Amino acid sequence: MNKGVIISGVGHIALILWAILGGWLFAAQDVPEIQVTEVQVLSVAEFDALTSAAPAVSDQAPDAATPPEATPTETTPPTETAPAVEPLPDPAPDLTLPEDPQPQPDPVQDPIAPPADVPQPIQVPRSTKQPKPRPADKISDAPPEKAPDTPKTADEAKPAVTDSPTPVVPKPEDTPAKPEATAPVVTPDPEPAPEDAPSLAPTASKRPQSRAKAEAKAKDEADKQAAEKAAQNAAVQEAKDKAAAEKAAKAQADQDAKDKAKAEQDANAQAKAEQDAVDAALKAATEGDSGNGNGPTGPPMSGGEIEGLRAAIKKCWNLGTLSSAAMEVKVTVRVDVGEDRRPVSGSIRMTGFDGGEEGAANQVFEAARRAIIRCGKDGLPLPAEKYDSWKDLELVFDPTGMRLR
Amino acid sequence: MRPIRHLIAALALGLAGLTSAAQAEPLRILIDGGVIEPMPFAVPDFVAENNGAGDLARDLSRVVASDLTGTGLFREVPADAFISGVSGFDAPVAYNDWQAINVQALVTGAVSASGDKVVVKFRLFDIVSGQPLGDGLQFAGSKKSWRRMAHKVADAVYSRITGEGGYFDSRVVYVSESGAKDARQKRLAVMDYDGANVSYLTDSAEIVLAPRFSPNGDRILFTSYATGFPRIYVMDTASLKVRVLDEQPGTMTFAPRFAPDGQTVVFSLEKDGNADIYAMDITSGSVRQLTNAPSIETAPSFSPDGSQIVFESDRSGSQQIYVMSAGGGEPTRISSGKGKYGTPVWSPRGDLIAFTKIGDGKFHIGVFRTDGSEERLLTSSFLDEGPTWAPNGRVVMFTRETSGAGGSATLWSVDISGRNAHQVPTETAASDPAWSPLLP
Repeated sequence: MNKGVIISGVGHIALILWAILGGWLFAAQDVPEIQVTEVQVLSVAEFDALTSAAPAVSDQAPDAATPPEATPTETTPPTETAPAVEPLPDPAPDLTLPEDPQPQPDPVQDPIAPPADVPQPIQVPRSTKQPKPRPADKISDAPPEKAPDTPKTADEAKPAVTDSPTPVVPKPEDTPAKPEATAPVVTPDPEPAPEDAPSLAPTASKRPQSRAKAEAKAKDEADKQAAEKAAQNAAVQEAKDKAAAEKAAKAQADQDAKDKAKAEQDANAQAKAEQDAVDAALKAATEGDSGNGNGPTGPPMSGGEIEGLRAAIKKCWNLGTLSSAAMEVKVTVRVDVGEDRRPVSGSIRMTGFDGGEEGAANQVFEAARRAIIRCGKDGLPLPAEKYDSWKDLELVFDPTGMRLR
Repeated sequence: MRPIRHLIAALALGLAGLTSAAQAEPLRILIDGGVIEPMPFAVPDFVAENNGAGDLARDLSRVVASDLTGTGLFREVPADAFISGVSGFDAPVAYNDWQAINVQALVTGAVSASGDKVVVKFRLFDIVSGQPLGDGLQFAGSKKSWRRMAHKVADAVYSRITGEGGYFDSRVVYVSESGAKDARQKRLAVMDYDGANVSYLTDSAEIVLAPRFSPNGDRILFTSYATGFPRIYVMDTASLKVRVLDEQPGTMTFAPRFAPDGQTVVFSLEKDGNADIYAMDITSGSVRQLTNAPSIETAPSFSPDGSQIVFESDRSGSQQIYVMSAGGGEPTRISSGKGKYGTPVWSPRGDLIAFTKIGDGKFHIGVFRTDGSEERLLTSSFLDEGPTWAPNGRVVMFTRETSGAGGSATLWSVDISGRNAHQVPTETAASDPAWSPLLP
């Protein structure tokens, strides 16, 4: 093929691509729109007349320095500076969680206090159930008499028993933190005291902290740029004032130069902030939930490791006392596991059930809880180096395969 | 280049979000099986809160332990294995000590006695979780009713752990047998579910058969040969007064059973060599014929909601089980296995039907769904027959008779899983049990 034709073809294709994509790839940066000011042409005589009639300009110059400062603000769209500031993280997320004492469990959260501390209520049998032997069975011996009134201990204990603690979930407006940061707080943990909370929260929300670091870095950069911008503005303002004192026309030229310089600075600051944000995001994406780097990390659990855990819990899950109704219910249980591979007993909670009524689900859950605690007494069979993979377990207990047929 | 940077930033942030979201997800594992074994429990002797309650406290705790162990779902850890005892009803529980001997459920209690009045209270603890299981309860009654109070405690414990109703505080009416096999004397007797507290309701003057409790336990239907022919009678359990339920000359009536409303009785009436099922309003005495076939229809039993009746019939040429509407109508055969089926009884839960099956030279007690599916044989022996359901629908009691001239009838119970079959102790040979509802 003719070399000329090839060159021509390549040239045309390049031209077509440039026509299609050039506008997007090589679009000019959004520079502030040029302000157009009408200039009235004056003769020398008219100018002299104006200047001679004007009040002492040089005297007002220092005071007038501030009002002109408003001009660049007007010429620079607010949206240009906003992106560099808005993404900055509010430090509140890290602070709000520890400061809020409500999520921390109250010492009386245990629904039923130990008998030594708070005696269990002794309920008098009620007619709706069958707690009280009554003389209906005429064949039998004399029926039991009606139970006496509930002992005082029952009345005293009732409030503590009936005040079933409900984990306090931070309201969204109270906790501007990211969902990842709030998750550990939702889990009721009766162990830590309220004063321990501040030190726990950052540890439990590693990723948000990492993200906050990146955002804080971006904010620092933006602040730095803003300071530089202010200094530059001051310099420009000084030059502008000087120029304004000489000639209005020259002042206009200085103003243009100042706007241009400011626009370049803003663009540079924004570009740097964006680059930092990109770097931080990429780092977070590639490093995963390494958080502060203190916790153990590693690859996800292998199939064999998961099967080992499943087999261990199966051995501890006793279905012998479950009712036939309970054997129809699948229950989902969440549990937090410590680095010592032992389940946090206070964290074991039923998060859902399927296939039956709540009463039956509770039976399955209680059997499941016993299984988890018994199995985890000496630590669950979990690889220590993969803590991040198993620190939060969701176990679905499904007895339906073992029901009577 | 700003658009490109924005694009990269958006992609990176999205990737970071996806990564974080993925890592925020817990490790999800399916536990689709477990073990079936008795739960280890402990019942230390209840605390006697005054001088007169010592023996009673110990006896009460023993009955509670016996009830739970008898289900086959629990295994008692013996007292000599205890590391720590229970010094007082309100004393703190040493969970670690109980965990160390593998106790999973602990029952503590206290008994006080004053004159003829006895008060028993108890608590149940989940040793594994280290917390009480529900609230404590207290019962009061006379000294004579101490076993019932123990059964009440055991029922509450059983119900709290298994999630289904108990059956310990219930009674069983049965036919007490004595004498040689070819000259048996039979009389009605009633006992606690575990064979204790036997009382005899009739003498041995006439042969009696098939006693059945009313839904609230205040009456008993039974068949007597007092007139030389089988007749249905009803007994008031308070006064023990008996009256014949129906008397039509030239007929025989048998196999009675109450409807769930307690006002209707279904039974078989044999006339001119043909037996059909009838229903009688027990107040007005009006009778309706529910089946009309040249075959033998007998052993009717209502579904718990009273809408259907299951019965046995040989209309197909062999003894099989059918279901029809409570008002009669065309029945549907539900038994389909090899062999003969009889004495069907609808479960109090409504989900199963228990029956006697004869096949391969053996008698079996079995259960299947109300449509005849999922048949499961629970026992097998020379002669097992006449199942009756525990109030919670979890256990079946039946008659087992041994072979030979010296053979005798005994009562047995078995879990519907087929496990834990064991003989119920009775003073005499016994047959034809019928379980009462749970006592109020």
